[in-house]
Amino acid sequence: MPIDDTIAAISTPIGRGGIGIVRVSGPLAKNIAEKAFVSKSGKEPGHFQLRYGQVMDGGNVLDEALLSFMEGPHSYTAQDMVEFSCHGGFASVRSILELVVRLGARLAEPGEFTKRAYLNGRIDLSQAEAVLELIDAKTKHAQLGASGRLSGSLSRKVKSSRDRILGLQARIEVSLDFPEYDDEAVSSEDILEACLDVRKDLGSLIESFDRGRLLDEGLKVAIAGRPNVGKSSLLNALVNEDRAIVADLPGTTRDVLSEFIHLGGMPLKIMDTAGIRQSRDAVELLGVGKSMQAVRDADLVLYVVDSSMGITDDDRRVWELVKAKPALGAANKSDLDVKPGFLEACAEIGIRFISMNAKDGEGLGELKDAIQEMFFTGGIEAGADEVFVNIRQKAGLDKALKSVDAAVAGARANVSPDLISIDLADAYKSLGLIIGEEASDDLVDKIFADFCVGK
Amino acid sequence: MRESGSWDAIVVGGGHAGCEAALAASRLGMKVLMFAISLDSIAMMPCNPNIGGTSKGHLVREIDALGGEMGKNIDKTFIQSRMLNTSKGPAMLSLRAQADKAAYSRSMRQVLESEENLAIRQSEVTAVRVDDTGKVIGVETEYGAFHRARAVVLCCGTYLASRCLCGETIIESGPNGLRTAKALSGCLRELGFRLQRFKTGTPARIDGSTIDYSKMIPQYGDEWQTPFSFSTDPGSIQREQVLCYLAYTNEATHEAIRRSLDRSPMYSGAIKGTGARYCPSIEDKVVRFADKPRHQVFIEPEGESTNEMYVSGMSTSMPEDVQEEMYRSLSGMESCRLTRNGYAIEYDCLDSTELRLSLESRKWSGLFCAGQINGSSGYEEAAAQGLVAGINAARWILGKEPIIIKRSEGYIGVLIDDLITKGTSEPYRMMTSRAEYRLLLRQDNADLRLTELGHEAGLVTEERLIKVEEKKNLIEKETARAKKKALSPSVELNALLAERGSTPVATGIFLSDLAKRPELSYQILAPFDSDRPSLDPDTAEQVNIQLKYEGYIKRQMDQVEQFKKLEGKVIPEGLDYNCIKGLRVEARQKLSSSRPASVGQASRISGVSPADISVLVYFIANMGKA
Repeated sequence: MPIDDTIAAISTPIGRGGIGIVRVSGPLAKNIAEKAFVSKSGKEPGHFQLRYGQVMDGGNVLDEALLSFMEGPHSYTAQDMVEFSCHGGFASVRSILELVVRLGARLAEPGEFTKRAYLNGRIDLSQAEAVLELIDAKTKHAQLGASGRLSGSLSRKVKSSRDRILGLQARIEVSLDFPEYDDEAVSSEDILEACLDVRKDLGSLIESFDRGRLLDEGLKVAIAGRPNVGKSSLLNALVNEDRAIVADLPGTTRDVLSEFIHLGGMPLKIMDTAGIRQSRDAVELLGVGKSMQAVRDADLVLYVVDSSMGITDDDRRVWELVKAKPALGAANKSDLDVKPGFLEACAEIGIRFISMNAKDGEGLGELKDAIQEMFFTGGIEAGADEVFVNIRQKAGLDKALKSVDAAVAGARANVSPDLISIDLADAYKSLGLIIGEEASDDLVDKIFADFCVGK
Repeated sequence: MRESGSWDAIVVGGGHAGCEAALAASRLGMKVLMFAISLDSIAMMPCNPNIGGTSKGHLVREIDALGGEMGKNIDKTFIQSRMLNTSKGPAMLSLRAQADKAAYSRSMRQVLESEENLAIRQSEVTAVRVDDTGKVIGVETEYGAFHRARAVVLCCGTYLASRCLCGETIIESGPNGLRTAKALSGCLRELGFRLQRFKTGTPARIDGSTIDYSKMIPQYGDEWQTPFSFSTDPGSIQREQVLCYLAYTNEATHEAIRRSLDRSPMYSGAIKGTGARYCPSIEDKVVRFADKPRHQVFIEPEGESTNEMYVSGMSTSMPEDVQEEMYRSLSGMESCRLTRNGYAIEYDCLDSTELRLSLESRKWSGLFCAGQINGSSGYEEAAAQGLVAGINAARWILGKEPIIIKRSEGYIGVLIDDLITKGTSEPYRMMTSRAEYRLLLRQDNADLRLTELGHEAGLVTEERLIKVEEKKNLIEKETARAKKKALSPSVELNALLAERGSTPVATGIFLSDLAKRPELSYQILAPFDSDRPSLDPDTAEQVNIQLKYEGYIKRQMDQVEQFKKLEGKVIPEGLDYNCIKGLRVEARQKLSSSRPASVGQASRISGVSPADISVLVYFIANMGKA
């Protein structure tokens, strides 16, 4: 990993604070800040100065922010550094990080700021030792993430685009390295056609990535409870209040079981376990299929009871099934009289209950605050690393697309194939990083597997 | 044992690696003795009769820039020359020449003989001797003599415990009927080297007077021939070009092969060595690419003083009778006579990862290895290593740091780094696809890239260096001027553009922007560039390339900068990887056995992940401070 290019990362825990910080270190830091930030006063911040203004992506305002500038070597990493302090939550830091990467920074490896700080003599050996452990642990996590998260179709699609690039490269290379076998020659038209195909695939991949995957990584909340306690009303209440935002999200999945809302900038995927037939058996109450799966997947369970009916036996059976998860109680139907002994029964269950009425929205605000509070105080572990991994993958796709675009432009301008192969090699490498593969002999292997050449 | 003389350096083997090694060391002032199994086989070309080709041509140019001999020797002895890949981009141009094999060998021998510090001796070397401190002290020969030396360079080619296979016939010999070197192979094993078994092959030779060339397609050389050596005057080498011919195999050929596959040592299991994928035998091609109705075959002369023709593309180890049948199945060869059978050859070679980038053994100091003994294949690959090993053997004797060419500096760097860092499990051939910075590593600029290093090594004269420096300055100055030069639209300019099929211009335009158009060039625009200095064609072409490919060149240079930073991080010799916290077990093992010299080299070892590299960088940075 080079140590004097420009790196960037979100340096505050995602979603866990009122402020989010995107940190940039390296020779381009100042230049990136100039492009991305418009200060209110019109002045650039000097060394150790703070300016208030807006983060701009072209003509769009991404967020209001404070920009600080520390000139190397008098900074943490001993390089030029800028920090964007923007609104907390997920959306803002993510969009700023993406912008900064587009402007030339590279996503930092876990611990890389500290690594630079150490290598540039800013921190001592014992501190560095600690970082070393951290890197080891974090990298394992990231590797797990790279292979684990990219399950199924996405990984297959990246691989298939990558294979096609390799196939095209092999066709080009064989005609370069074995010119006497001119029956294998590849024309500019062939190259262009193949590049356009790959380009199309990558484009739709990026689109679907933007739409589905990232949002899919939001905090998963399952609504659980016996029938008729008002689970669906609660879902509707949460969703209705957030309707405007939901409508803004392109391609939000709208199946019956789940809805997306935004809470303090953090996407929530709310899964309703309603619609299960009535039964004495607790397992069947929740349903063995999707409902249990939803609970298992959930980062947080909203445990709904009817305060006018008290905690019934059915309620207790449901509780047994969800109690392993972080949970928040919703004591619904506060417009009715509370059953005597209800509060004592709640205390016995041992989680916090919010008194509310889903029908008229009473207590809804308090419930949302409570969810956020649990999230921010760490009661729920929604891995920041997972989001991080995703942005990294997206950056890889963007980079690959840029290289393929360059190859397309080259093929259109009829430049020679050895130049186009430079762009294809870049694209191949970028895609390889997404799926955690970096193989240097692939191309040579492919040439000999596909073509009959040699003296 | 009888002691017979003392030398600075001994070179074992007189092939392409041995010749370059012996010449380099002796030209650096060392007293050198070169052994060859037969003095008639010095610089012999036992397989194809050509020098150069894609990426190999680059190697020859680089050898020349560093002060080696191969380029000069082929310039003296070629009989046909072609610049390949003229339409595929500047990095792909490759020079290939057909050699007169006998003349090439004779001419190289004359060069060796005229070298003051160099002695030549015919004898099989049976052992390398070392002392208790792990230092090489000399070699033993089959005649029971011990020759003392401070450094030994092994360039044994394919002779180590070699055997040749042709159908059911197996002959314990080196290539072309020469003797095998069995004893040395055993000695190397005793010295603790891991040996591998590789295989390669060659086609039959045909009596050219029995071929009907009218049924084949003639292959012409270039009208104006380009020399390999930067010091050869192009005007002095122009000559009449001999012809090669293109022919094709057909269904009858393939049928003859398929019918007798069980008699092929390749398929009967007689061959144990690993063959190279880029050099498949014709039986391999027929089996692996069964759907191809025909394969290309080039008929190439072995020299001007013989009728023998080489059949490129049809290397084989089929039995003699099948060989006759299959060669005669080609159109124009119906009644051809074989002069020599094709055969496969198996031989021992080293595991090249046991060497340093200087090509010195990690275990035995003063022992250098070059060429096919290192698992490579090809005359040019061998010569390149021989040159580096010869230079570094001399430097070792003189107590100087070795010369190491980086991957970003030359194909030679890629070749040696691949062999040493990654190792090879089949005979290794140079390919342009192996060079990640190939746009910068062109055959046309090998002099600009490596003359300085050649001068530093001591093989290039001051005069030649100054000439190259002048050329460099001129290119730089002219490129800078041309970049700023704007052309105004004129009837004449637009007429030229129209003639070239290029879009006309309505406003002023930078010359460099026009030169970037594929259909135009810096040279073509000369009439509109009034203040252009007069430049020789080579220099003008360099300026053209700089202007034309500016963006791509810049990107590759940026990549090289990143690459160099990691290469610059030196790993201390003898570092104990087992005490580095955070390295994965696999990485520890790989690093411990490969012992890379730099972090960059470590990053290219398979099984070492980017995370391991991070950990390593830390650890090394810590070491000084702990």
